[in-house]
Amino acid sequence: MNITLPLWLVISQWVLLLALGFLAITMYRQLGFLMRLKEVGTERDGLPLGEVAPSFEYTSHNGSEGTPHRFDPKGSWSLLLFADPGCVSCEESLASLERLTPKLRITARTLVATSAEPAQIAAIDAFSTTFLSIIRVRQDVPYKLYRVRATPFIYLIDPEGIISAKGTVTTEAKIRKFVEKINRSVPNLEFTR
Amino acid sequence: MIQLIVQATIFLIRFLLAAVLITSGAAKLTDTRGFTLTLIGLGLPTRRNYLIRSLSLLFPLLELGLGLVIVSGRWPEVVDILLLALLTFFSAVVIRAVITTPNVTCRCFGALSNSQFSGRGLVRSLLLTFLAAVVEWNDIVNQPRFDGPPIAIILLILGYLIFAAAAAEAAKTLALIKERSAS
Repeated sequence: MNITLPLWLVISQWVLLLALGFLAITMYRQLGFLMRLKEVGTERDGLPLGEVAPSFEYTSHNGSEGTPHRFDPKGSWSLLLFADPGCVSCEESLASLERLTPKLRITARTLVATSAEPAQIAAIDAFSTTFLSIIRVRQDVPYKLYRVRATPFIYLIDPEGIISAKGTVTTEAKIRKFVEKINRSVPNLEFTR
Repeated sequence: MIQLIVQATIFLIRFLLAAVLITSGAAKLTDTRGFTLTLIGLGLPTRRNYLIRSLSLLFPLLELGLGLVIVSGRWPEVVDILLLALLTFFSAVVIRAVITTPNVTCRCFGALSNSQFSGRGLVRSLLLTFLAAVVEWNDIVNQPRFDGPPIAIILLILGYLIFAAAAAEAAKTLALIKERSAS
């Protein structure tokens, strides 16, 4: 028995096959990329410890909006968290940071940097914090200047402008560990808050 | 012979566009929250929460539905005009986004791609629009027919539905792995 299919049906079936193959390749490529990220590990993410933190321009989201400011890493301790309103872990980090920064044994200005649009920031409850300063930066600040590959990523910068600690902080436990690490490494500085 | 090659090429373009729409719609449906943020980033008023949430569902459903109707071969005259209109609209949105809000993540294919609106994305969008215009031009000039045994058409739609499910599952899995590998 001969069954003849019209040309469009045959082509449509081939496209389906191609599309499935393309989807499989895309999945493998993305998985490969993620595995490479995992292999490299967070230790090599971001700028190296001991390096001078770069300064950058920002606008405040929950302060004097629209006015450009310059972040000068020197002069005081700074906690700089790079976060993105689109990532669920970032929301958890913000809430944890708000709870845990008062436990720091140093006085540090805490800045949450994002390159998202103001409306996107405003749409996420976790970013409506009054305790943390939410700042908007150009897109190249996290990715090129600070070499952040995945958010949420945090830096601790000392008053000399040197990076003292860094890490990906996706859970409250990680932020707690980060805070404990800071408290251990700077035991006799300023006992404030 | 040349006529046959031209016709086969245009069929190929038509079904590739359908596959793109199905992938994009299915992947977006698994990340409506992310797509909502994209719409907000593009300037939709956040006070109209209901509108944004509806659009974040409506667009993926429209893409998925249109892709499946293209695959079925039904009403080609109307469907191809809709396809051209939708892709032209998307290109206009991408042009506006590249100029005014380049920081916004596109999430055009959900978690399958996580890129920002860029010149490269604009070229891709314009190319898809051009291909849709070619398909529409062919409809006007050649008026192709999409007849065939109903059982074959049903099986074909089922095949593309499975593809949509695979794309959605792939997007969901990638989103999960990304979240886990960050921790």
